[in-house]
Amino acid sequence: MSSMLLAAPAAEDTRAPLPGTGVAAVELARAAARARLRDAHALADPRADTWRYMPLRALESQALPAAPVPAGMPALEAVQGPRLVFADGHFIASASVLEGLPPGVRWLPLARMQAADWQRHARLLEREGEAAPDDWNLAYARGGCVLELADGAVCAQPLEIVHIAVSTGASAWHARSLVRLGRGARLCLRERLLGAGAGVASLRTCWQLGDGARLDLVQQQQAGPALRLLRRDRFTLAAGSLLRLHALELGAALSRHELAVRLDGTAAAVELRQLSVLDARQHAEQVLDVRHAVGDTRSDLRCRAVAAARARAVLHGAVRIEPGADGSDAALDTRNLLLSGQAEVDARPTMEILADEVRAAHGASVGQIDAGMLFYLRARGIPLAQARALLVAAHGRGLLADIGDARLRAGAEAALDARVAALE
Amino acid sequence: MLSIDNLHVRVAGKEILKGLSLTVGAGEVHAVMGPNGAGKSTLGYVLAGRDGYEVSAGTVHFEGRDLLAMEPEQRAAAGVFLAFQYPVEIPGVNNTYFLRAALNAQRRARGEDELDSVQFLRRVREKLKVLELPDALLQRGVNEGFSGGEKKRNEIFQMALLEPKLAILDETDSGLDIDALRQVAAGVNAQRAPGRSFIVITHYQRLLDYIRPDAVHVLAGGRIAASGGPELAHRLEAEGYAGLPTEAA
Repeated sequence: MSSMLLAAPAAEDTRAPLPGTGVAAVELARAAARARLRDAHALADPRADTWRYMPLRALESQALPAAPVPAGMPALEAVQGPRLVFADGHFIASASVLEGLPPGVRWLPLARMQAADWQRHARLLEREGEAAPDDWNLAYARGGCVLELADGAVCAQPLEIVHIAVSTGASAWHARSLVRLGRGARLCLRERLLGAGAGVASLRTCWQLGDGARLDLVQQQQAGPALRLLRRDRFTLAAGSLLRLHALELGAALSRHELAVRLDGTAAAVELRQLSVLDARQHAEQVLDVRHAVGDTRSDLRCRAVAAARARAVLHGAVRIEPGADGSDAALDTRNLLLSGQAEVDARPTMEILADEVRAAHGASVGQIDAGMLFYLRARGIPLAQARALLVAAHGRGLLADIGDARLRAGAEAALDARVAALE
Repeated sequence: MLSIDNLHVRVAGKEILKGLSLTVGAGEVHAVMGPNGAGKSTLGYVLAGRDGYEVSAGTVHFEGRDLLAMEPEQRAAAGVFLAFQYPVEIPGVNNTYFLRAALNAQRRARGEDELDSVQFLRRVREKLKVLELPDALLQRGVNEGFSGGEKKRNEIFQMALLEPKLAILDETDSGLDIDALRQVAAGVNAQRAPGRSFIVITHYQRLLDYIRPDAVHVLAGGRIAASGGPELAHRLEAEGYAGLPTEAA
């Protein structure tokens, strides 16, 4: 087993106990996860299709203690709405705004959960995937929360969850969350990962959308250039529910983002807009696993990457239409921009169709900045570097146009523009 | 203002312009006509500085400066404007943002103060009226989803906003119905001024009914084959290009 996974923060329990310490069910689940880790032979099977591009050694060679409570952290901008802030996985009450939630909406950081809460949200104690990082996260997660919307609850003003990577030493931190939207509930949520911290982080979130629920989710990964990030989001969508997800991958030295979506009820729909902007030696992997479990469901997946310098962007995009899921409508489109001869994009969209009378389309393209567009801008007086930046930003900007909340849309566009302006 | 002398240009290894010479004075409107493949658009692209157009001989001076030594954006800031025959669509680049970036980049390059958003929008609204373009187009991506006529009017709108010294209109009349043609011509005529020159590249005499040129040139075989006044355009309309001399006039 790799030293990273065995770098169990044994001393952590006495210094700052993990949430749920002393709760039997939690202890049992963690013990089982640690046992599986001990028996594991590798972080992942490098021969497995979705791990083949991942530089596993960059993770396995690290011996990482748990990140301590941060002595300080960067200031966050003032926000209008409720917000939960975690620094290296530690819940930071002083930076969070817990109040102001609409009726029927409640959230609770793991750090404040009591035995009864763990019992009620036992889903948090299940693995989010089959790989060793899922056990790693289950065994040692400190950050994260439970967020619940009762049937019919509406949270139109955005909530925010912020994870900040602070420690610049070699350390690890983990967060896991459970988000449940009741029947007909509506939630607008932004998740950001910020900070210049290094080390390794893992995030695992289980999202459950009830009948007719709607989730507008904006994920902005803006970590510093030394973080290695393993992230997994698992969504289950009941009948008539809608997930609209905008995911920006802008930072981190190494990141892997697994998005598993199960369309479990008729007329459930997912609209994914995923954008990676990378340079230097950044390596970012998006792993999509979308399953149409029943008929008359819809998936509309659009992924774009910009790779400069020696960066590498990888997309494993798998859509499966299960037997009997007749009438499903699936589209997977990936368009990618290479800004240097040494950058690399590996786009692998796949569709497995096991039902009848479905609509399914996928496409992939990799290209360079359009010379005609570049000349048009320059012919109007815009200098070369600015013209290139405009076109690179434009490559992604189209994906952000349908973020419904104007403030979140502006925030995402600003994050994109700042990242493009800083490209090597 | 513009002096082109013995210009030879190759595109993808093939010589397109073969010794073209042309002089345009300040405030003059010169029409360049000619059959398909004569090199009319090549002339526009070379003057604007597009990559892939290799100048193998000749000189181009604009207000005494070596135009061919300048980058496209430097030419624009110096006052050269090309209205494209096929304006490209650039989804994701907002039209207003683009126009302000272009205008202020040119002003910066000339050492002038940039316009703030209030000053910029005031100028935009003035110019929009002339071209009868709806405000909504400003909120879309550059040329994104524009009709053919809207794209051409947008080109002339940009020209009005940027106020160049030399505007090259590359078949701005192609694809326009008669109403759109009148609007475009009105936009051009509104910009005529003693210090502003035009090269109007066109296939047909029709546009020149609305934009009255000082001189008409026929480009054939890679060089100016004939020059004259507006009556030359009428003659071409009646007789076609077949009877013209193939050597430079």
